[in-house]
Amino acid sequence: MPTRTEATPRDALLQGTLDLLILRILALGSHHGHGIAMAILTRSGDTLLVDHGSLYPALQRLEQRRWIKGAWGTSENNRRARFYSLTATGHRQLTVETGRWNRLVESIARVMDMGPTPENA
Amino acid sequence: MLGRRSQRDFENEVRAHIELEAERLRAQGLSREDAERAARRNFGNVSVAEDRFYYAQRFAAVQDWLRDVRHAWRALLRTPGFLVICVLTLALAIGAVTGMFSVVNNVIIKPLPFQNADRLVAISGTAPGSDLSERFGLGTEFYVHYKERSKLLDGIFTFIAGTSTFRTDKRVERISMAWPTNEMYSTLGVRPQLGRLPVPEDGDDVVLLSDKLWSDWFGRDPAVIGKSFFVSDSMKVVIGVMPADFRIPSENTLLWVASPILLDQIRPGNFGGPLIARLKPGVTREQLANELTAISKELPARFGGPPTYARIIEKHRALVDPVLDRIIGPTTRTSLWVLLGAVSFVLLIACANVANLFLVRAEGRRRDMAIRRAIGASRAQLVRLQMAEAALVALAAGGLAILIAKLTLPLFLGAAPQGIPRIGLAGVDGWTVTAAFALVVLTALACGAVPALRASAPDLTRLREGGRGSTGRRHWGRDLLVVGQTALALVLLIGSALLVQSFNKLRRVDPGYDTKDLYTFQYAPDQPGLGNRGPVWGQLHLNMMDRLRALPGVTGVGIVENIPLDEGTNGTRVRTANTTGESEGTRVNFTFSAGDYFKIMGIDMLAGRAFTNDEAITPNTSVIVSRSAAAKLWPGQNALGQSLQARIGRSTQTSFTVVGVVDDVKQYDWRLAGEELLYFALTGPTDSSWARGTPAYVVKSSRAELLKGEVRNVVRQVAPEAPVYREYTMEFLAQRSMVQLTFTMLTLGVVSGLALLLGALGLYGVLSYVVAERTREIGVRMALGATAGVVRRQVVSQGAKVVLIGVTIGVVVAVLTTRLMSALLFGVKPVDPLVFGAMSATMLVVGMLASYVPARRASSVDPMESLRSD
Repeated sequence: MPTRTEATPRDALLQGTLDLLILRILALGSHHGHGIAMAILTRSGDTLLVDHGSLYPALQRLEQRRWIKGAWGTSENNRRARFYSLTATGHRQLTVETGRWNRLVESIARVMDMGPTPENA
Repeated sequence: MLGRRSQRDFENEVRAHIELEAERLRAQGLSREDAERAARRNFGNVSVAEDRFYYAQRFAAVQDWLRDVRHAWRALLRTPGFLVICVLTLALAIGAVTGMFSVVNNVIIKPLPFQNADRLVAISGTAPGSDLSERFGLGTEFYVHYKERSKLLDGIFTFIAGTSTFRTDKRVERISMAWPTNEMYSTLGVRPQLGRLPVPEDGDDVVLLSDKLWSDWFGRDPAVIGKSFFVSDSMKVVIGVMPADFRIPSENTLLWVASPILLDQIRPGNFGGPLIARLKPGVTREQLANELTAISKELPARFGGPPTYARIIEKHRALVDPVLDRIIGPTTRTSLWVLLGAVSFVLLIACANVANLFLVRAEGRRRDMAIRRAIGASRAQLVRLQMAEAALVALAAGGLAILIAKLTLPLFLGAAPQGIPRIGLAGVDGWTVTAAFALVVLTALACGAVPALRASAPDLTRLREGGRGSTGRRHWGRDLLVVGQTALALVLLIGSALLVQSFNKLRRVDPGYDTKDLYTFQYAPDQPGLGNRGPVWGQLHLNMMDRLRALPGVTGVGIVENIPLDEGTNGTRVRTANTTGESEGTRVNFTFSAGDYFKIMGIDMLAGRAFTNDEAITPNTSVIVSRSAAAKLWPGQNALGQSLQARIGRSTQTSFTVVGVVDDVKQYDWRLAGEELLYFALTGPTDSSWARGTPAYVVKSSRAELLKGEVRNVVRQVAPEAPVYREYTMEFLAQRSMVQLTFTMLTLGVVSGLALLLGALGLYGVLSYVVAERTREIGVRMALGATAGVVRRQVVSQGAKVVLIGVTIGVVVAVLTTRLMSALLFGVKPVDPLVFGAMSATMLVVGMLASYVPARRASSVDPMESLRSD
């Protein structure tokens, strides 16, 4: 059995997660970038801090895939900001991604529940 | 469709974000300054984000594609041998097709450079059952009558083309010119670049210069308009200069002499002239042919003419063809299409080879592909990757091909027969590049599609197998490619063998004369004072012959009005004792001759004698007839001493006595039968019986190739201003008469050789691969007792099977296609069993050889070695 490589799966996981989180937040209504970051932070009970620098590439990627679309608007405190909202494709994608996520969590949970944790893990 | 976002838009978004963050932090109690600093820190490096945005944005659309190309390029570079072979093979083939396409496009396909050239037609006639040829040119009476009576024409003209003397103060030369009627310009819709067009009032006293003549003789001086020069024997005024691209009726026409047809000069029944017309919009060629056939029935009533004429007109039907069809002869047309077809075959073969190489390569990467598939690459992605490789190879080949075409096209054109209209225009132009690019796309599809589809559907079992099977599977795709290659190569082989066979047959034809050690030339003594009446004219030529005989190494000199292989003879009708009733007589051709013509040309004297020198300068009624003329005029009788009545030149109907019978000569085309020909002496029945042209001299000498300078000196002594021209050795003329065939033969020979080589390489490659893949199987067999011979036979028979199928298909295709080239063949049927058999055998032998090398390799497999290798 070949050994698993370390770096890639974690990277991919993180990136995939951020996309999923953005889609989930936008499912509740349109938000600007800052708002999305804040929403993730608050809804995760202040544990998930989104790196602002990597938030925008993710938004750009999602927009290029036509999952979300952005438009300039005015924020609650009267500032101009770019507001993102889910497209129809984005809605469908969210369903797919959510399903995938749930399966992944279940699978991992099943693996983790196999028995007592080894001493030196 | 989402528009692309600008960089500024993104920068605004980032700024908005930082302000929102700063605001939030201030609300938490930070000072304005601290809040702003913290907001920036939280965001990270702004310019890096902007850069990332920039690149992601710019290349989003082409990113995937570019990545594929990059991967493909890297993959190709890892196998440089593969890359070079594929690119070179395809570049040669695409280059050849591109070049040939350029030639065909410029000569055959592109319309003539006239407005609505598709409405220009050539009119000729046919009269089944008459003694005229199957298709004949028409006389001036047709031109006049059609012009006046046809309702479907937008102009019609006729012309005479030939060479004549053009004389200025500084220079005198024999040049190509034409004598068109004035409607030529309006019918074709052309204007002079300088000066004006002729009008009826000009009569035949004006000329228009070609751009080339204007440049070469007058240095493009506009003052030439209005000046007069000697053309043939009279002064003509220059009234205009035609544009450079006006090359009618032939490529090298330098001068147009206004030549209106006068009604009272019309003598009905002089067939042979060209008629060009323009259809009214919407009129079809068939409609016009019907109309012209109908109105030509009125000709005898209008112009009179002998009873034979009326009978011909009764049978006559007008033929209307696109003018380009008549300009490009059937042999040229056939040659060019055959060559384009041949190089296209080579391209197909090259594609098959490269596709094969791609297949083999893909085979080697099946494991790689299977892994990619397993870890989630979609099938489309894998196909795209494979196609990107094929596209890169094809694109590189296309670029190289254009270069190859650019470099080799001039060589090809240099070797091509002279006088193919517009062939000089062929070159790497927009059309050619477009064609090359289209070929690149097709090639990429052809080479990439099959391997891509096969490789992208890998069976995951490959992973388990560890990438190496112990038994070879049949690869129908590759076998099919080899079958196709073999078939195509065989078709080309058969085609070129047919041409070689034709050439050999034609070379062995006895034209009735020798071509060795003979030099011929003409000179135009049409300057005032030299005289052109019979005896004076005859004496001039006798003197000239004497001077030429005095040249060292010259063993004989003769004269003939129309030298075989260079000029055609004129026709006339003669009556004999065998001619019945009011018939105008039998059609035969005639020419003039003097000196040792028959002797030095090796034309056999079958009976009687040749002309004496006296007959060149004394009025006489002697005639010498060719064997077939004798047989036609006096079938089963002795021709010698018979008399015939003919009207030649300005003479009235005169009776001539046959003093000699000579063997037939093939006047122009060695494919045709010898001509029925009458030879007259230089002086006719009276001093001024016939008007003369400029006869050809024939000089017999073993130094034939070196005589040009000495002959010119002799002419200069006799007639200082007379231009000397049409200076050839008979050997050259003989080669020239076959150049269409030899050129096509040589080109096709090279092309089919290339095809054979590529085909053999393809077979070799496939079998080599099969052997390599089956090494283990072969090892097992040999370990179990199979001998080397058995293994060899097995591999060879596998190759033979494929080749045999290819040969069978090739023979069928050849049977269907070789008749397309029948215009080029001579003395050999398009489906010649010998040629077909010999070439099929050659193909089989080459196939066997190509299989034998891999077979040897297979039989030398060391069983232990191959079993251990896994």
